[in-house]
Amino acid sequence: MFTTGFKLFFGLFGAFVVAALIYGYSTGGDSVGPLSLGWKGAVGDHIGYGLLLALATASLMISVVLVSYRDADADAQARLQNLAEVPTDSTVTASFWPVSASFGVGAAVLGLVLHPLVFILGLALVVLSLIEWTIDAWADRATGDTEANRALRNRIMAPLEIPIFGALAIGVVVIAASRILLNVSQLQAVTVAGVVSALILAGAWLYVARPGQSRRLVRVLGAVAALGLLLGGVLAAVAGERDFEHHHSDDHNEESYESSSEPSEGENFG
Amino acid sequence: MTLTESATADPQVASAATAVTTSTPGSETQTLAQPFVTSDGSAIGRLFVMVSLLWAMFAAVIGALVAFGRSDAVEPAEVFAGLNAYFRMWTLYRVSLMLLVLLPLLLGVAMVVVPRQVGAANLAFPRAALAAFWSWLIGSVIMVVSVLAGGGWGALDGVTRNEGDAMALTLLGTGLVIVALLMGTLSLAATVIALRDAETSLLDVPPFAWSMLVASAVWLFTLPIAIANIVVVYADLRGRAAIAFGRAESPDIWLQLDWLFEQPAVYLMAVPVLGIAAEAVSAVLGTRFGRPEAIAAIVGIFALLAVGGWSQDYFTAPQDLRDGLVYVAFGLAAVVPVAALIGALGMQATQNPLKPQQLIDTRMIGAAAALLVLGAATVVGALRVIEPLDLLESSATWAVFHGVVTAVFIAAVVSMVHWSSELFDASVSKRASGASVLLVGAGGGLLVLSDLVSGFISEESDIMALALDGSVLLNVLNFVGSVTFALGIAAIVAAVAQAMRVREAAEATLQASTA
Amino acid sequence: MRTTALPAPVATRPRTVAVGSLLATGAAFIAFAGLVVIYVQQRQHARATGQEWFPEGSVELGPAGMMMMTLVLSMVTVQWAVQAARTEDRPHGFIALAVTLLFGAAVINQFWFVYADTAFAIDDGVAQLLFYVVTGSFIAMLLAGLAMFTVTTIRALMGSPGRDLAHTVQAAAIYWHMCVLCYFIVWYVVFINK
Repeated sequence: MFTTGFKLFFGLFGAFVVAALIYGYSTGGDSVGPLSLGWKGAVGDHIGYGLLLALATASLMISVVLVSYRDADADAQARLQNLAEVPTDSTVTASFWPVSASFGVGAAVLGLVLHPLVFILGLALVVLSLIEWTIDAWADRATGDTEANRALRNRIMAPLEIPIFGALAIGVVVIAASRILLNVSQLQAVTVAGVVSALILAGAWLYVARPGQSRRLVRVLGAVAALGLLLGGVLAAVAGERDFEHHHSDDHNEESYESSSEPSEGENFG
Repeated sequence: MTLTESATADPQVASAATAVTTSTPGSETQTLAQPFVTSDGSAIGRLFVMVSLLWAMFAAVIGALVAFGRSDAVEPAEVFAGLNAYFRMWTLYRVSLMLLVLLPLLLGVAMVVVPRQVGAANLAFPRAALAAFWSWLIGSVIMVVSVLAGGGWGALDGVTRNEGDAMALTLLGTGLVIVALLMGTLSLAATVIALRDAETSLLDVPPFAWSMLVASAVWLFTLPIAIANIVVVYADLRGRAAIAFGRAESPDIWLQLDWLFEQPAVYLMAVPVLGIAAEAVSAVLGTRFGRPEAIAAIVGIFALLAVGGWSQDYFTAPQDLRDGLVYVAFGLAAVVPVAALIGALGMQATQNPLKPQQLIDTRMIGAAAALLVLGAATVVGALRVIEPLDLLESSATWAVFHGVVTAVFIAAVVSMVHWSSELFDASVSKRASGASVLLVGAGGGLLVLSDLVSGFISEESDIMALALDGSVLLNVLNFVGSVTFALGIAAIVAAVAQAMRVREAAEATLQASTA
Repeated sequence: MRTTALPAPVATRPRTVAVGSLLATGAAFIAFAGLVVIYVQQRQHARATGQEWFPEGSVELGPAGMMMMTLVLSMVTVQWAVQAARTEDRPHGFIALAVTLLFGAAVINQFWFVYADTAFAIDDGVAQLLFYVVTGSFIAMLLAGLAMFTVTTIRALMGSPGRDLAHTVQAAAIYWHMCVLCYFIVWYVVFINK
C-alpha cells in the first residue's frame, strides 16, 4: 500500500517536523509558537526552524506524489498507458545544443560582471539553444523512424538555421578578420591577408587534388582555423586598433598609419 | 576471427577489447566531437570522473601548499604572497574538494553504474546530464580562475575594486557549479525512480543505487540553500557598497557558506560511501547481505542526519546553535548508522572464515578503511558538539571535514576498482589503487589527527586553524598528511590513466580487426 | 513527407518527466525557502534591536492580495490545461494556456506596480535589499514556470492524436503549484506580516 519511495520521503517529513519543533523550543521558542508557525508565541531561531519546516514540506510533497505514482514502478507505468509491458526508454540522439546552452550560461555569468553585451549575447545563446533543444526533443519522438525524424527536424529548422547561422558566421569572420587586420601595421595586414589567402587556396587545392583524404582531418583543420580566427579577433579587439593619424588638407583627406601602443596626438579612433 | 584472437600480445588489451565490443547498446563511436554531443549517460559519467580526478590533483597541490603555510617553516602569508591570497587558497581547497572533486566523482561513477544496476538502458534526461557536465566544467573554471585572479569568498585584509569583481565571478561560478551538480543529481535520481525495469522495485535496487538515490535527495535538499546564500551575497556585493551580506573586505562571505563544509552538511558527501562499501564487501565475499532493508534503513537514517543548511551559524550565534538540542542530537546520532553498518558488514564477513586473497583485496581493504575513517569522523563530530569539550569553533571542524573527504575518496577508489570494466572498459591496476587507498588513508588520518589535537589544545578559535599553539609536531604532521594524501590521489590518477591507455589500445585493435 | 506512412514512435515512460519535475520543484522550493528564512531572521533581528523594517505605509497590501487571487485562479486554469491535454481537447487546452499566461503576465505587471509604488532603492537598507531579492527570485521562478508550462502544453496539444503527453503538462503543473505556494509565503511574510 505504502511504497518505498513514500516511506523514505514521508519518514523524512516526520523527522523534519519533529526536528523543527524540538529546534524551535530549544532555541528560544515559547508558548505554542513552534506548533503554530509563530502565530502565538516565538518560534526560536528563524533560520533553523524555517528551513526544517521547508524541508518537511518538500519531503511531504514528494512523498505524496510518489505514492500516487506508485514509485513510478515499471508495471504502474505500463498500466498507465494500457500496455502489457513497460516501454523501454526511447533513444535520444546526439545533440550539440545542451553544450551550446552551457556555454551560453557561462557567457551570461561572465557578462554579469564583465560587460552587459556579453550577458545579452550569452542569454541569447541560451534561448536559441533551448529552442533548438526543444525541437530536437520533439523530433526524436515524432515517428518511429530515426532518419525520418532527422529529416523532419531539418525541414522545420533548416530554413531558419541556414540564414541565421550563415549570417552569424559571415559576421563573425568579417568582424574577427577586420579586428586582426586593423590591429597590426599596414604592411603586416597586407602580409597576413596574403599568407592566409594563399593557405586557403593551398588547402582547397589539396582537398580537390586528394578527395580521399580524411574528412576528420579537414574538420579538425577547419575547427582549428575557426578557433584561431575567433581567438585572434578577440585578442585584437581587446588590444584595440592601430593609431590612425588624420591630416586634413583643403582638397583631400590623407591618412597615415602607424602601429603603436601609445596614443598619438592626432585623432584616435582606437 | 574474434577479437580475443586478434594479434595483440597484451592480454590486458585483449580483455579490454572484448569489453569495448560488449559495452552498452547505444554507446557511440569515439570521435573528437563525442564529449560535446553525446547522449550516452555512461560517456557523460566518464567525463565527470576524468575531469574531477584532474581537479583532485589541483586541490591536493593547493592543500599541500596551504598545509606548508601552517608549518613553522614560513609565515602563512609568505606562501601565497599575502594573507588574503592564503585565505583564498584555504577556502578554495575546501570548496574544490567538495564541489569539484568528490560530488562530481561520485556522480560520474553513479551515472555509469546505476542505470545498469536498475535495468535502465540509459540515464534519464541524458541531454540535461550533458548540459550538467559542461555547465559544471565552465562554472568550475570560472570559479577557480576568478579565485586565482584575486576573487574568492571574502578576504581578511581589504580588497581592491578588481578583486571585488573577481569575488562576484567566484560567487557566480560557485552557483553555476552547484546548479550543474543538481541537474546531474536530478537526472540520476529520476533514473532510479522512473526507469527501473519491471523486476526491480525501489527496495530491491542494489545498495549503491539506493545510496545514490538517498544521497540525491540530500543534495537536492541541501545544496539549493547554498544557492540562496549566494543570491543574497551577490545582490549585496554588486554595484555599490555592501550593506550587510556582501562585504568583500571581510571573511563574512565565507562565513555565510561555511556551513556546507561543517557538520551536519559535510556528511552529504559520505552517503554513497555506505552503499559502495556494502557492495564491495558483498562482492569480495561472494554473498549478498541477508537483510537489504536494513542497509536501506541505515543509509536512509545517515542521509537524514546529513541534511544541513538549517544550522547556519552566521545568522545564529554558535552558542545558540550549540544549545539547540537538534544540532547536538544530529552530531551524536551520526555515529550510530555508520557503526551499525560496520557491525553488519563485519558480521557478514565473519560468517565464514575469510580467505587470504579476500583479506588483501583492494576493495575489502578500501571498504573497511572508508567505513572506519568515516566512523572516526562521525566520532570527532560527536565530540565536537559536546559543549564542555569546547571544540565547536576549533580546528576539530576540519578534522571532521578531512575525515569525511578521506572516507569518500577511498570509497571512490574502491568504486573505480570494483566497476572498472563499466567505467573504463579496462581493469584499474590493483597495485596502484591499493597504494592509493593506503596513502589517502594514511594522509587523511594524519590530517584528522593533527586537526583534532590542535582543536583540543588551542585556546582560541581561529577561522583558518592557523594557530596550533606552536606545536611543531602537529604542523609537520599536518603537512606530511597533506603530501601523503596528494600522493594517494596521484596514484589513482596514474592507475586510471593507465586503464584509459589500455582502453585506447583495445579500440585501436578493434579498428584494425574491423579493417 | 507523409509522416502517417512512417512507424509510430515507441512508447516512452510517462512518469520520467513528472518525477524529474517533482524533484526539481522540491529543490527550487528549498532554495526559495533559504531566501525567505534569511528575510524573516533579519526582520526579527531588526525588530529585536528596535529598528524600523519598512517605512510606515510604504508597502501596500492591496496589490499583493490581488496577486494572490490571480495566482489561485491560475492554479485552476493550469489544471484545466492538464485535463484538456489528457482528453486531447485542443480548443479548451489553448484557452486554458492563454488564460494562464495572462494571469502570469498580470502578476508580473502587478509586481512592476508594487516596485513603482514602494519606490525602494536596493541599497536603502537590509529590508529593501531582501525585499528585492525575495520578490525578484519569485518572479524569476514564475517566468521559468510560464516557459515550462507553455512549451509542455503546446507540445501536448500539437502532438499526434493518441499520444499521451498530458503527464508532461502535469509535470509543469506541479512546478506551477509550488510557485503559487511560494507566493503565498511571500504574501504572508512580506506583505501581510510586514
